[in-house]
Amino acid sequence: MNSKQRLILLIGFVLILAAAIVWLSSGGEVLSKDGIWIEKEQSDLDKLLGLEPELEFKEQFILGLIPHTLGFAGIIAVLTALLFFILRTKKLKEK
Amino acid sequence: MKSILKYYFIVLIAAETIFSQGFQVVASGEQTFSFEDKAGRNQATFFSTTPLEDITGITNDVKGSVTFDVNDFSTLKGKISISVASLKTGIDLRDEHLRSANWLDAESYPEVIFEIKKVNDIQVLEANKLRAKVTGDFTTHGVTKEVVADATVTYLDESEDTKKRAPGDLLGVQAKFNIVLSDFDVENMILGQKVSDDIEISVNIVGSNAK
Repeated sequence: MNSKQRLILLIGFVLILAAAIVWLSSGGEVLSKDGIWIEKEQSDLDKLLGLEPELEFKEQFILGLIPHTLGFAGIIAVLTALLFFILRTKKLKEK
Repeated sequence: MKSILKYYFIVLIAAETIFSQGFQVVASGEQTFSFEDKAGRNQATFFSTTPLEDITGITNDVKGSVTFDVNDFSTLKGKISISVASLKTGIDLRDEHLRSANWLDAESYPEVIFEIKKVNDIQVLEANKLRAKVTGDFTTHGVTKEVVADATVTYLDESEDTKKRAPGDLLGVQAKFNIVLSDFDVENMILGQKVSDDIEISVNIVGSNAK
């Protein structure tokens, strides 16, 4: 392994680690989501009627493991492998 | 004789008040409440939890009506339905799977229906609030099974406040029950282990008796 290959491996590892950290800090959801359910504020009448708070869909992207984080990590892994192969030290052929 | 009759009526009224299994409200007799809400505030939800993921699905397309004698809630009869196509889980692709032939098959079975059969264990919480176990036929994916829902029902006489939501007296219903998906021939294949076989269903609706 030459120094360029080592650098490529390090960059690949850091990028995948960063993706994992971003995923975990986004809630560690298995699937990416287009939005979240939030409880609407109840009116006094709704409370009198004994209802539970109404849920409302709020559009908000939630990063999940599938497909975004794993997809990104997969692309980085393939690119790292490709660059690792391209940047290998070529041995001179003996004539 | 007069005093005997007086005591008889006092005991009768007291017994009716103590053992009454209905609402102590202005209205009396048989009332029919419709749950059509053009503002779409009525809501039915399902909840699934697995080690992989919790899923909440919601619809505001709730229809139906119930009829009962205000003084005797055990006379409750009626039907509540939701449209499968209106269910949203927060992921568009998952909603498509949910509606597909492999799951709830919205095309062949467009509605999920709960038809009330009987009411047991009525508890009077307040003059206008009851808790009861409501037994009914639950139909989804073309299969019907009997389920028992825990329901809390609140009756509000018409007032200036209630008119803001709908004309007439209002009936608030909060009910919960569980179903087992495999009992309804729903094959948990595409979503696999992400969806539990045990699903909690919750209904949060308001009906009006305005004609």
